[in-house]
Amino acid sequence: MNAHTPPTWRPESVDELAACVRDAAANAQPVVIAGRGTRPGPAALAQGNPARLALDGLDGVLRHSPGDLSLRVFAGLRLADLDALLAEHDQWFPSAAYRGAGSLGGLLASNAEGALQLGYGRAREHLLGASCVHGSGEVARSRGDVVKNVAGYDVARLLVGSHGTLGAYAEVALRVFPRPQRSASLRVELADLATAFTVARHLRATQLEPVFLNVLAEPDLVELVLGFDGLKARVKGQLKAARPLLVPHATGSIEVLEDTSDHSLRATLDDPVGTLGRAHAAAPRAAESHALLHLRAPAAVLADLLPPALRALPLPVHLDARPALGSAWLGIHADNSLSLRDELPALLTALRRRAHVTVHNAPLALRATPEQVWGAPPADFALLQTVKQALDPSGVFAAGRFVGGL
Amino acid sequence: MPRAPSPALTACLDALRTQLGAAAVHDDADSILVYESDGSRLHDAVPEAVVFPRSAAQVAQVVRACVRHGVPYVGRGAGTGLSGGAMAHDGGVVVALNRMNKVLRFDAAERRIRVEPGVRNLDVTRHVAPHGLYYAPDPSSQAACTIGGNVAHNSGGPHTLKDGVTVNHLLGVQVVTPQGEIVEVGGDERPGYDLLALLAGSEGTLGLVTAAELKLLRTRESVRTLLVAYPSVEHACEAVSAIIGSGLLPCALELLDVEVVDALTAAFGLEFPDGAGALLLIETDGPLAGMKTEAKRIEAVCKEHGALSVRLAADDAERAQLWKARKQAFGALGRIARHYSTQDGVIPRTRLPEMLRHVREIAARHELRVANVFHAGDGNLHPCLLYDDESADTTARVVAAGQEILARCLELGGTLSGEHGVGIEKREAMAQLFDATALEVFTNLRAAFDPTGLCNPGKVLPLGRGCGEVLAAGKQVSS
Repeated sequence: MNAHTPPTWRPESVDELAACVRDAAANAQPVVIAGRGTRPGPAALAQGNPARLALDGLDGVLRHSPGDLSLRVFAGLRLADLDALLAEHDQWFPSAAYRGAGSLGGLLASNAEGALQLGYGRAREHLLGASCVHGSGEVARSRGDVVKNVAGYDVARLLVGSHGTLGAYAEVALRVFPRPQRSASLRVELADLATAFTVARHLRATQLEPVFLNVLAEPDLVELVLGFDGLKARVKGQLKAARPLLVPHATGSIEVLEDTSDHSLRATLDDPVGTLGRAHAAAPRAAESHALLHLRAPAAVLADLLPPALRALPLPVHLDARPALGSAWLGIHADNSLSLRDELPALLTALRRRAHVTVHNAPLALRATPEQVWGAPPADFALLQTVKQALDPSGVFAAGRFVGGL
Repeated sequence: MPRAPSPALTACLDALRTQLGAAAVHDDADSILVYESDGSRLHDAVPEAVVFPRSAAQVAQVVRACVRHGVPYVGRGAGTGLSGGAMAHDGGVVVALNRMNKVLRFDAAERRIRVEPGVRNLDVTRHVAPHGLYYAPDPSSQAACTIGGNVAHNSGGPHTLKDGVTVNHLLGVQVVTPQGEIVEVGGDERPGYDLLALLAGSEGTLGLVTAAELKLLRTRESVRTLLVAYPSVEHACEAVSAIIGSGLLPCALELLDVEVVDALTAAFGLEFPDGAGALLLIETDGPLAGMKTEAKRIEAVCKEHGALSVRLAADDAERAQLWKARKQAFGALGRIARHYSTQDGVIPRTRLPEMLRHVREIAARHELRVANVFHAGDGNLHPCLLYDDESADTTARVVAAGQEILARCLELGGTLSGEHGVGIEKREAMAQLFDATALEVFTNLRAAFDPTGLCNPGKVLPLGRGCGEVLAAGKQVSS
């Protein structure tokens, strides 16, 4: 094996997946799980020369019980295929309804933040169970894919947000939902970012139940978007109730988005990594001149932190903030890598004083170490190490790319 | 007969009296007897001592002293558990956390509250209600049970159909680890593993929760409550599936069978339509806009599935009246039998009619009466086995019937527990739900967190003994 070209493994069954992991453990070959390879995810540089474990071969549905609104599928299932399958029964999985190419396992392992998290919660909230392959290379299986289950430790959820460092999802059981009768959204342009956060706060204090509420900004444009799902009468009523709250702040007309325009807005919001990445795709030398940051902090902190930080930054920024979720995505673009390398460290230092910041993309020199990508290890890092030690004692998975070098 | 305290226990308690004060440490027979049982009386075990820490630092001192002297310990809230999870079966010390009952921080704007573990579930909602907020998980014991116990059992309740169980509302916890360290465990805002999901429902085997940060929901603008009578549970179950399948998501869908209906009629004179074989209590909430349409849709689906009558509460007073049937159900059962034992199994919702037939058949075979009042929307059954005497024979029949009901839940693709936990009661059945690798993963996790094995030993994970053997050792069943 050439040390510079690590192998890619593509198991086509759960048993093959387990065998790959056993081989890797036996040969001290680190492994990086790639899912379907659509979103590499934030990661520090790997140690060693890890093999790539592609899970697109683990495809298909094991069981779908439309009457019970639950299903069990292989973890490599394409999200678009999941959506198509559910659509046949007028059902959906709202945590991934607008995301096409990625895998379900990847969605969970990366704890991806979908468009509709405000309305429906994270994918994690609807995870009923899973079969997983941990560092031993054995398949841990459980039964009982029901909506309430408190038997045993919740290892299926423990792996949410683990970025492939504790093992691979092999099979996943989900709770799914009937498709809403109607969906629609509102888009309004506002004077500035501070106003947008204020309006978002006011909206959240009302009885409205938006399924998303985002502050979007790019150079010379600040918008607020919010959407509703449900019975026709309920969506209509909420659109009507929201309007007078927006009118006093709007700098233009309030746009109602329905059908395809509503759908395309949601698709945009569902994949901030792709959307904010694409915003700069035309730029030359994109890898070195583009940064994508994800902030987590309470709404009040985001409202406080972001407007001055972005004003002070002499580079164009695209923002997708979800204040009600305590989340904000920043895409930053520079004409040449030098200015991004100059400006980004100070911005990160300022933001990390009050928020958790994950660096999804940046010039390589600024995303090489776990600390650069994930920030300082969290207060419960010792327990994360305990879990890692229990599930992947020989360190097969991920090769030091996660927080604190996990 | 009380055991003579071991030298290790004596040394441990002496150390704790010095650190916590003598008033916080009890080992006299009268004091510890209070801690011999939980909400079910199947799992009685008298601890050797009870300690009452007042802070996380004191909990850490307790854990360290226990570890130093090799004494097992188990955390306990209000003792309302039903699976023996908070009992000291291996002797040792009960760490009573109910005196740590302060609200530590409340942020109405961010809709979060941080509380000590001994704060009662209902008191969280009482604390935040003036700000138009509430805490969603609402176990039946919510007036007594504590947040620490809720986290340990990942508790649910009638209103979790729409809003989820404890794990869906945890934003962070502070735990004292089995090493005696105080750790702030973060939620998904920090990079890392979902430790909150691991700790929720771990039944106090991975550490003791000393504070919990909870997500609050805004009190909804409008609520509609309907009480629907059906000729049979089968009709009611079909209506439940039809309501959920139609895209309506009520916040509660509770089912009461004919035994319960009769008990309510006998005990409280509540009146239901002639021929009512089941009642379905439905509650839906949300913005006022569209609420009328939603309630009408629910009513229409109910009628399509053979409802004998539909009563829609006109106001809060009538709503409380309708809930009375559900909330007084267990009390009413107390009027028709001296004792009952509640089982807690979950099955796929579409299998409910079939499962209820099995429950009746199993109870009849063991010469027991059975009444069903349960969370139908979740497929979470709570068959109540009714009996009058506490003889060994009766207890054995109750235990055997309960085991058969659970075995049938597993056969139908369900699980062992929806909200009461595994504890000691169901630990041997875990091997039927999880394969050997999955159980090994659990064992490895537990050993990694608790290398000395002193943190709530003997719970959750199977020891390899028969279920009947474990349960038959119990003295009596709940009343």
